[in-house]
Amino acid sequence: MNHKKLWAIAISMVWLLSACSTMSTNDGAVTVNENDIAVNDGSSTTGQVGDDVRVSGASQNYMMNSNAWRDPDSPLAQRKIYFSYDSSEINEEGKAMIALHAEYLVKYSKIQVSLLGHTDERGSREYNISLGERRAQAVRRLLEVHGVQAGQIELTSYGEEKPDLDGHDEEAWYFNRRVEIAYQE
Amino acid sequence: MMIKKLMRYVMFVLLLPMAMNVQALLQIEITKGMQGTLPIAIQPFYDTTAAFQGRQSVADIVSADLYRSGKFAPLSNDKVRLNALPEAEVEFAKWRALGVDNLLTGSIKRSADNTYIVQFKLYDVLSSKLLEQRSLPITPYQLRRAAHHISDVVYEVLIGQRGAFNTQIAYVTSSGKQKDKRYQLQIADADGYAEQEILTSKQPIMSPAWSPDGRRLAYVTFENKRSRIYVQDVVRGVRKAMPLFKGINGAPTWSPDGEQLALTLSRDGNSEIYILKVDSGRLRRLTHSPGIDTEPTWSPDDDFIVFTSDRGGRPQLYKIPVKGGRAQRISFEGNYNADASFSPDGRLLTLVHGHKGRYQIGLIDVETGVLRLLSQGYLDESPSFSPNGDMIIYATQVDGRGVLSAISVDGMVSQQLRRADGEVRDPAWSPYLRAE
Repeated sequence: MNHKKLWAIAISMVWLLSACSTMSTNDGAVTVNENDIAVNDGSSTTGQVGDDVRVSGASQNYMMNSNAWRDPDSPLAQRKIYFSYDSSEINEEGKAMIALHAEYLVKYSKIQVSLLGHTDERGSREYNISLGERRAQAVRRLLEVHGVQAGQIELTSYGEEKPDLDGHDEEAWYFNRRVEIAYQE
Repeated sequence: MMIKKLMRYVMFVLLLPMAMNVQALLQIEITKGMQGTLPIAIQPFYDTTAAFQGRQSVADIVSADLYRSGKFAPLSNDKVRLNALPEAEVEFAKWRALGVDNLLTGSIKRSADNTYIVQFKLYDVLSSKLLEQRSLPITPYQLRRAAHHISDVVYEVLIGQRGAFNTQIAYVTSSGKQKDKRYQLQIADADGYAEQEILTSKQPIMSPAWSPDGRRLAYVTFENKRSRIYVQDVVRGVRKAMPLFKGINGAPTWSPDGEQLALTLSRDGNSEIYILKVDSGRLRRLTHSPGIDTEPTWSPDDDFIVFTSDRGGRPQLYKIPVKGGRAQRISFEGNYNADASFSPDGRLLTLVHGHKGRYQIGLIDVETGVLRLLSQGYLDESPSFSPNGDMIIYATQVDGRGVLSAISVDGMVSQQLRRADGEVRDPAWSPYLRAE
């Protein structure tokens, strides 16, 4: 076995060990995906070694861990759903993101989220507060359809008051028309 | 805890001698002026009291007020004789030779204790007549008020309409970016001077609304990460939280008797207009529609509330009787009409009109329903009438920064009010202030 592969094994084992130590033990059995461990069994090769060990581990592991929402590398870290101008309709990308969070929230039903609705700066301020709420309500409805309980979800609208991007062009407007999923401590 | 701290801060700010602030934190720039204005000479007021050194003089304040109205051309300082004795005879011929129609002179004298008398005389130079003279007793902190009052009198005597110089504006300012962003609610004289901070927060502040007696401001804050309405007594510096409802608490506007607020709540599932009795907290629901109903404005005759609703698809203006009933649409041009505000005489509504992505301030005649566009910007919002119905102040963007703009209803005169740093928005012009 060459140096590269040894390093890969060593790194993956260290990573796996550290991942193990952050997994909480009080939410049922935590299983480690055996396929992601490259074992030094003396054999010349395994297809898995060095190949995306970290990434594949993360995408599988988030559902296994009630703290995964804190992990900046987990897919749960993607929390912004974007909207078209003057619309509260959720597009395909938004639906997929909501489904992912919904699955997680259904499994860990003690976790609470706050949905924060926003708009871009155009138009009157108070109407935009209501429009931001309408967007957050659309996200809530979809989460509930997926089985998330009403008690897990809170709603606030900031209208145009808290832009993500300071600017007065299409780019800024796009990134400000959003609902953010905020996990509560 | 936070509220107690805030109240203490608010009271401290208000107890400071406000008139000491000579610097305008709002800079004014005249962007449009009028032709055919009245030439007037304003002599420096004769003042031997030495009590007002280092402050903006009465003559300067009046001169700036009248110039800003777009209807006067005050004679420049170098042409005006300095320190004329108040008892000296007016040399009308000399003033006529300088091309002025009117002359204002005055004096400041010490009275009993720590009070003063500001006296002024307004002359018609062409007919050599004294038109008006008055004596105003003031405390040291009321000099600016007295000057603005004099501007009001000059305006009313010579133009024939009530002035709005002795008024205030409330507005929201913000500075910093993202996590360091801070928001403030401010009041200033209508000329941008004597700015006072009456609230500061790390969370957004919105929608200041003056009570009809000019003593209270209702506003929206997000202090606890959710919207809530407060009513603050700006004279005493004490504020009262309005009852908190689930969802949106926003867009407060006062009834003409100052006892009720119309506001937006979404407690029943989506934004609707409600009426709240300020003292008792009693609530009455006014609108019932599946769309968004928000931004109420109360007619001065207490008959109707006009509001924004998208029950028909896009935001339009509707009116509904105060006592309840059916809502009727009143805006028909374009597909975005919102944020309406009644003129003091109830004959006009100012609003935000959106067309092809451009948002401008407009006026709707309440009787005919005809819409007229007033402002020329692209992101204009939050219009508010002056209490004499002559001017509208609103928020706009210049060079990517939020500024305020004031424009006359006939479109002939306009000014911009800017901060040295940070943004300004959400202006509200006070009613006529009660005499103190």
